[in-house]
Amino acid sequence: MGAAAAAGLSPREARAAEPVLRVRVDRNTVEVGRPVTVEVEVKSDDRGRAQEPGDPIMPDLPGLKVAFRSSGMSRSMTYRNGLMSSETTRTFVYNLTPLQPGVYPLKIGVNDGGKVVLAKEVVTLTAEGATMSGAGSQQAQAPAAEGASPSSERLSEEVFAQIVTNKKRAYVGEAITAQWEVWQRVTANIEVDMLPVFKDFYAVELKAGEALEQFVGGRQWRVHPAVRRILFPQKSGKLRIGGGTLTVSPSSGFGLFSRPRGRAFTVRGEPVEVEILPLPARNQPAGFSANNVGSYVLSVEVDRQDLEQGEALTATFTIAGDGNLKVFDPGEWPTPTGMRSYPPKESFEQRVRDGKIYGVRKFEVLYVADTAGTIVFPAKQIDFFEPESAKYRVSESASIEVNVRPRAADPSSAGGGVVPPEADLSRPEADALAEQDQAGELSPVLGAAALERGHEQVSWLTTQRWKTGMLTVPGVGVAALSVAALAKRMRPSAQTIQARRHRSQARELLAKARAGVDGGVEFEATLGALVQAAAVRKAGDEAVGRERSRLLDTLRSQGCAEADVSMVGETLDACDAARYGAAAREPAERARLLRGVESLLRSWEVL
Amino acid sequence: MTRRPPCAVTGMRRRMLAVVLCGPVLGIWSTVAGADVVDSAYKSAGEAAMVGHWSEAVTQYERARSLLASPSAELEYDLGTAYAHTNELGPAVFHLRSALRLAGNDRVREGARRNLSVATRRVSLRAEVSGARVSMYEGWKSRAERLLRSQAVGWMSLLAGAYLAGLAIVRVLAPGVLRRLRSLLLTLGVICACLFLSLGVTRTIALGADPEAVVAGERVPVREGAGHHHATAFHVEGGSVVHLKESAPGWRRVRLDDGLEGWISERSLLL
Repeated sequence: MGAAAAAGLSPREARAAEPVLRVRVDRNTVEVGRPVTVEVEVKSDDRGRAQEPGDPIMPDLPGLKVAFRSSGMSRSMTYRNGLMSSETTRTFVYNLTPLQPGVYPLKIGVNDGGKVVLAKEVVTLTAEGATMSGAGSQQAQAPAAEGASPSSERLSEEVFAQIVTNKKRAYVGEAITAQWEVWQRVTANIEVDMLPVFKDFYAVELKAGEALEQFVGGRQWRVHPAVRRILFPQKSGKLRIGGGTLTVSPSSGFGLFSRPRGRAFTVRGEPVEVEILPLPARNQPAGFSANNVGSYVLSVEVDRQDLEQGEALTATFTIAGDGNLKVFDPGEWPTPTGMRSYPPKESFEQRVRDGKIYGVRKFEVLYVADTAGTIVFPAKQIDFFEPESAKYRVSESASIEVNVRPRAADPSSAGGGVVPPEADLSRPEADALAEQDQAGELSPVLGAAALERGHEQVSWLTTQRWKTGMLTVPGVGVAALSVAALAKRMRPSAQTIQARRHRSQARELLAKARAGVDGGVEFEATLGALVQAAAVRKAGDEAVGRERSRLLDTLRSQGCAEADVSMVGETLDACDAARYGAAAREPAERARLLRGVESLLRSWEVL
Repeated sequence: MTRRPPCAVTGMRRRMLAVVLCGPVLGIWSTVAGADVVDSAYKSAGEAAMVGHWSEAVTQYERARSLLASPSAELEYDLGTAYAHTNELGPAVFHLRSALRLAGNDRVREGARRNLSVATRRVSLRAEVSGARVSMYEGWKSRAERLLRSQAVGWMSLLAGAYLAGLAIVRVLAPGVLRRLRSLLLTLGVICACLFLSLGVTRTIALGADPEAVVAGERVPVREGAGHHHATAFHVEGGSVVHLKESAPGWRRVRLDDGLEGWISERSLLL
């Protein structure tokens, strides 16, 4: 007991716990050639540890390429029961690319002080598809790609672009898969300036796919499939596919921490030439369409084979195969004797698999049985050129018999009569129209013997007249307001009106005085009033109601000439004297006096 | 002074007299003859329609229409109705719409409205069967545009403008009148100014809207560009009403009421 206690309490060498590994993959099943991201997390306790565990030991499996991408570290500290402990977590990210199909067990370990510690769970990776041949060949997206392996000259560059086609020689209308790849081995921002030009090709856009890691020429490359198309050459000869242009700005760091490194430069992809052969003239069917290249099968089915006269059936012609089915020319669809047909309703589906384009095109033709009896749908043929065998082929649908029963209710159909033209509709249309016409038939035509004339009312208010009128209104308004403003501006002021009135009064008095020159009647009184009024006006408001001497002084103070002032005084005195009979004057004298006054008034601008 | 030979003078006078006398006679005769031809074709069409020979009726109505100098609401109505009977819905819709636009008598208006309704329902039905698109421009926007383009709205805006112009003239010539009836005239002026501006602007916009056309034929392909080599974007059923946006030689870019646009051959449009 005591020994046991002693053994239990005896001091031991402190030993760190083993690191714990956790392996995560973004997917467990992948196509051959596609990379899988593997994250390895190594968690270790720092207590009693002399050194940290090493980097993960990745499995060295044949056919599996391993590429390191990045790593990170985090540390957490815990204070518990007075003891401080810390834990370090290191994360490593790898890209694994299977080069051949199979199941890859990912036994990943880490070296911890000379001892390899493995992850508790072994993750497996399953690769599907065909084996990759060569390091530079492309994945299943573009099978047997020609020109996929870049030249050594290209591999010496940091970034380059190349066109990869699956064929270098094809017939007109034959499908060619083309992929524009951008290869880079340095960190850089890449912008596409100009996409490759696919002139003389009918192109179908495909999904470009993901970037791949490739180890070519002793270097790690990242390959971006930027553009991927299926091309159908439209003419024969050596056709060229343009190479496209890129602007490359080298940088260092990732994301927010990236910084430019060096000057930007332009990369031009090399154009590729494809030899396109014309379709062989030998054995070519008459009227053959150059769009019918590929491999197709035609089938036909009808929705019913027993129907009543006047009823409709739908025949569905289906063309399926690989090739440019969208532009395939099927020719005319057959119309059996005793039936009417309508333009087909068309549907088209297309999908791409393994770089080949497949399609199904359906033509639904509506037939209306006009006559009763057995009607045979003749077999329909389609001609096409098969590039693989370089031969013209024919696909033929089966002929179908349809039984058309006579319409019992319609006496006109007893002898196999034709449905009247007014019933020129398919069954569903006719049924629906019958319901509709019960609700409201067409109103009848007028049926007049002669056409009424002369009451067609052509409206006076044309668009042009209306616009003119609408523009005239603001014009009139502006003109009226302008006239009002002008009139207000040009109207004489109160002073001018008063001056004009005074001048008029002065003229009247002067005329009266002139009339009295010869006879002397009211001459002096008129003249005196005229001179008095002129002098008061000249002297201003101060002189109103003042005695004569003050009036004359005011005139003087206002700068009037002494001669004028004297004349005013003398004239007024003379007039007063004459009025009171102190001095009678001769006409000549009155005329002289008048002239003097006239001269004075003119100089004062009273007249 | 030389004189013309008497015989020459006589000949010239005779010719002038003949022209003066025969001109009006020939003119009257030709007018009557034209009217007869139109009436004859119209009557034949009516007779064919009565016995249900609608194709013949269409031919005769079209003949009368080509001979008639000015459009006739009655003839458009009869022609549209005949086309509706032959199930040529594109021309039917086109002529019935013309009849409504020309606004004949009440009977024509009522009949055209009813037959147009039947024809457009048939167009919708046919489009449903064929899988083509249909466009009718029957929403509030189209109705508002039609209302704004009407004569009544035109006259209303013009009269409001005339009142405003009159008010401005009165202000210049007889400001006393304006002073006496100030509140009444100004209230009316504000109302008229609002009418003038709002109707003027909206009617101008409505008049400047894209012109309409009717699609003829059945399940007409609408292409992505002006030309048969362009891919077919979709199909539109005959009798659909479309707006014309742009033109290229032989082709028109059209817009459907749901906003879809594409190019249609001019031969498939009734303008």
